[in-house]
Amino acid sequence: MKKRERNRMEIPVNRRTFLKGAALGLAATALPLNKADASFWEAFFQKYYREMNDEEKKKVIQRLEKEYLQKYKKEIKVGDEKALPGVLFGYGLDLSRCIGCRRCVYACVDENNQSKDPQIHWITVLRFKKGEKFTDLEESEKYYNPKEVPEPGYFYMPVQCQQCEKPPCVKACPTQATWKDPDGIVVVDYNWCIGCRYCMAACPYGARRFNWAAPNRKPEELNTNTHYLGNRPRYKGVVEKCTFCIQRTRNGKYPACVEACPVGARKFGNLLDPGSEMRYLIEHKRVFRLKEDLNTYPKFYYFFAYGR
Amino acid sequence: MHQEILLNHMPDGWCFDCHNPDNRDTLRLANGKIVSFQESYYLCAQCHGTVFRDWKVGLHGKRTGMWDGEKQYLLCVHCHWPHDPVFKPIKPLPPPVKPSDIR
Repeated sequence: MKKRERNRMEIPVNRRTFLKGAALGLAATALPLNKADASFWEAFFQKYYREMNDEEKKKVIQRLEKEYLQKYKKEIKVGDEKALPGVLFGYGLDLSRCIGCRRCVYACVDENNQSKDPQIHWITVLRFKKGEKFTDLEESEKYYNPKEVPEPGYFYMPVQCQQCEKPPCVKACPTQATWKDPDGIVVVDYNWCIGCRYCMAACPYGARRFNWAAPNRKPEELNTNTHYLGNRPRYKGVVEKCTFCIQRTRNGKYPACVEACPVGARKFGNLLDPGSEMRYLIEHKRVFRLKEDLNTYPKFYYFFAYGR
Repeated sequence: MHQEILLNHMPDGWCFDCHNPDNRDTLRLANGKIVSFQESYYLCAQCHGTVFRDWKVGLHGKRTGMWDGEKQYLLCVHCHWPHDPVFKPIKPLPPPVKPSDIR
């Protein structure tokens, strides 16, 4: 049998070897080998959050904390507190008291590490003329900027994620990167989101925000107390939204917007606790939920404390 | 100093409707009961009963702290200056950036 000489120069480039080489070359360009450290590959092969056990979650969180330390030169704590048993969060907003000062909007930005430029606000405050049919959100004004609020003849309605019991955004997500946790908070896994924005199209309240660019925020302005499903620093091309300050409320604290409101129009509590202020207001005040006709069952109750 | 106090609350009201003339460090209810400044909400509740009811359950006013634990309560007078209790208008924080203003 004739022994074939095999050296580099004499490999016959037939169709098969050409395709093999081309495939390998393309694969090498598609995967960024220049940042092929362990952390990149761990992120690449990360499991689905809800299928991970505590050990795996811990590993992921350690990796994220290391990444953030490198990126922001700052120790950032990423929590993964689970939903508390027997808790269903509800939110109340008193429209007869809101003065439209936007203190809640910026308290939220500070707490939840939203991007400053491009600007992301999770709360939008809408202004309506008194006497207008105000459930028509198209008639509202969100860029109002008078010297002083409240302005006579107007009223204000802040809108944020309504934490629906039947969230249309969750149904729309093709990768199940967003879901409703047992305490009623609709959360997003930023490592699983592919940025298709179907959820934004599905949300009837316009409550979801998209990171069109890498979130831009000074490291010294970062809130270091974060949650994996909440306010940890986000990536470019993922969707984010209000989580009722999951990092605060799962540890028993009030959301940042509740504490920031100068007129105390914002109420928060456990809907399953008959003694909570949320239950009292639902039972005793005039309450409505936004776009109730869409069958989304929001857990965000607008009410009027003064029964006019 | 007392001349600076402008009473813009209760038409035809005057100091001793609320303050105790015998001991100015206390307040006096309409029924003659003496209450301390720490319990001033009883005094307010004489007229604002429905608001008092809401305040007791946490609807009126603001609570901070823990939703299922220790809360910090604010009394009526923490927000409403009793001599002129209506909230004054304040400057709003800036509006969001309009899409047309993004370069």
